[in-house]
Amino acid sequence: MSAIGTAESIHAANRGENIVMVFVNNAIYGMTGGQMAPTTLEGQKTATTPYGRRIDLNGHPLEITNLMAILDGTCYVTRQSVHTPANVRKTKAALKKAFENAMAKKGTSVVEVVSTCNTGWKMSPEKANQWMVENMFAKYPLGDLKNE
Amino acid sequence: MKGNEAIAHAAIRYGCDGYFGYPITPQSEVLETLEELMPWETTGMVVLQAESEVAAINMVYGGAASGKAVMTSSSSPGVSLKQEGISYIAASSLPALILNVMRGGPGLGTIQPSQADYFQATKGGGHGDYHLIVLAPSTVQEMVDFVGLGFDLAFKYRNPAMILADGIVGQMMEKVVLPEQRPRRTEEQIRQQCPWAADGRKDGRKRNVITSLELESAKMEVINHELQARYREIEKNETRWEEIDVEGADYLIVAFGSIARICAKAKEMAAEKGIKVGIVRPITLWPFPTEAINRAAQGKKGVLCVELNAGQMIEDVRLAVHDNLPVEHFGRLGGIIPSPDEVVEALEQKLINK
Repeated sequence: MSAIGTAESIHAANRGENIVMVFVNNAIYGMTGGQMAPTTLEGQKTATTPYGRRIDLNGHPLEITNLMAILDGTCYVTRQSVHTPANVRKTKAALKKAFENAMAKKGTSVVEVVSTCNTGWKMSPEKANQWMVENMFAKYPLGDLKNE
Repeated sequence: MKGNEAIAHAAIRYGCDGYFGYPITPQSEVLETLEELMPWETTGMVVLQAESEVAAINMVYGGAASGKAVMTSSSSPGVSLKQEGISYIAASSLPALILNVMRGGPGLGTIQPSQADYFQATKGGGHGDYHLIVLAPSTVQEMVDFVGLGFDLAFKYRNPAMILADGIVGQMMEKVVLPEQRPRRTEEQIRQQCPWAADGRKDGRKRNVITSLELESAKMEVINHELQARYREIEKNETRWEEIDVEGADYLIVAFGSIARICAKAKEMAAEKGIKVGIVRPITLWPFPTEAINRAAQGKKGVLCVELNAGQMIEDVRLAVHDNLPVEHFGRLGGIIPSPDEVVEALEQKLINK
């Protein structure tokens, strides 16, 4: 959604397609072996930034969800997480709202779920949750970016 | 080291100016190794993880247009995405190196080894009448050697070259001898080697224009004829293959890449059964060793084409043999690698006891 699919994601949202985009942001490419993603944080070590992401070499972490929020075609843009039972309930409510928007033909809804990848981050699940709270939420704060 | 890692080391040591990639299994180690080695600190080589395969190949297009030795790597679905850019690079007569570590397809497919991109690599791949110089490594050492050979041929003929590897040779670990570190060419050396390059006009030379667009059909036909003349030249000079015990054999196996090594074992097993087999291994898949296979097939009782696909190179083998000799195909699909037993069994079933 924020790399190889950026053009299509932005244009689908800009057309106001009645769809729900769920963006699981774990800051790496988990399935291919933990390489740098557009949302990788500055200084974060990945398979392709073994010494940590450097802004001068690798550019900035991309806040694609913020970009989505400024498009007229989106009606609901929110950032959630699922690291506590309370957050799971909030994410569930956000997803429900997003699908209701699509069914009501209100336009595109985007639900970013800030997530961990304990395998790719090489951490225990508990440590990964902690690292996410301490590092990811600063760059990707939770809450609604747009709710029309 | 792994084949993919060897590619990264070989690229730096060749004096490569830039690598532009995007992660995809089973070749992500190329980009990962380059990032770990940090050649921008030593040789000044640029390493960039692009936002997509399309972006990466167009970065290669730009770098090649300025006379730089640039490359990209990917695996089957990613190489499909690059095809438009590859066609532009070929049409613009630019040197570049592209590595495809093939995996099982079609579509997103599997991440296991395959040779199912033979047609795509050798018959053009993108749109229009063009050819890549296609090198098929069967060992990690050849992965290393073909980086240098690929770049040398690409610059000699101003034509993109492709290393068509498979997941086996990309992931396999073998001992390799790496070449000596060569310095990257200076701007002055590039200017001398590539007088066509769009490298910034400083000395009053006429403007160099790199484009694949020509709206006048008559001129476009001339450009096409020039490309075709170059392809004939490459066919004449650069066809490469390996022959193993072809003289005196009753049957011929034709196989490329890592599968040729499985066939070499099968050949030994067949010999124990009293079946005499010779092997031709095409090293350049384009230009294809048509004459060599024709010669090797003479006097044989049959030809078995062993490929990790449903039968692609066999079309070129049949065109090469062009007589009544039976030419049969054996292959496994979807990422499965055949054992030497299976190859011998196929030889017996399809050619000997048919």
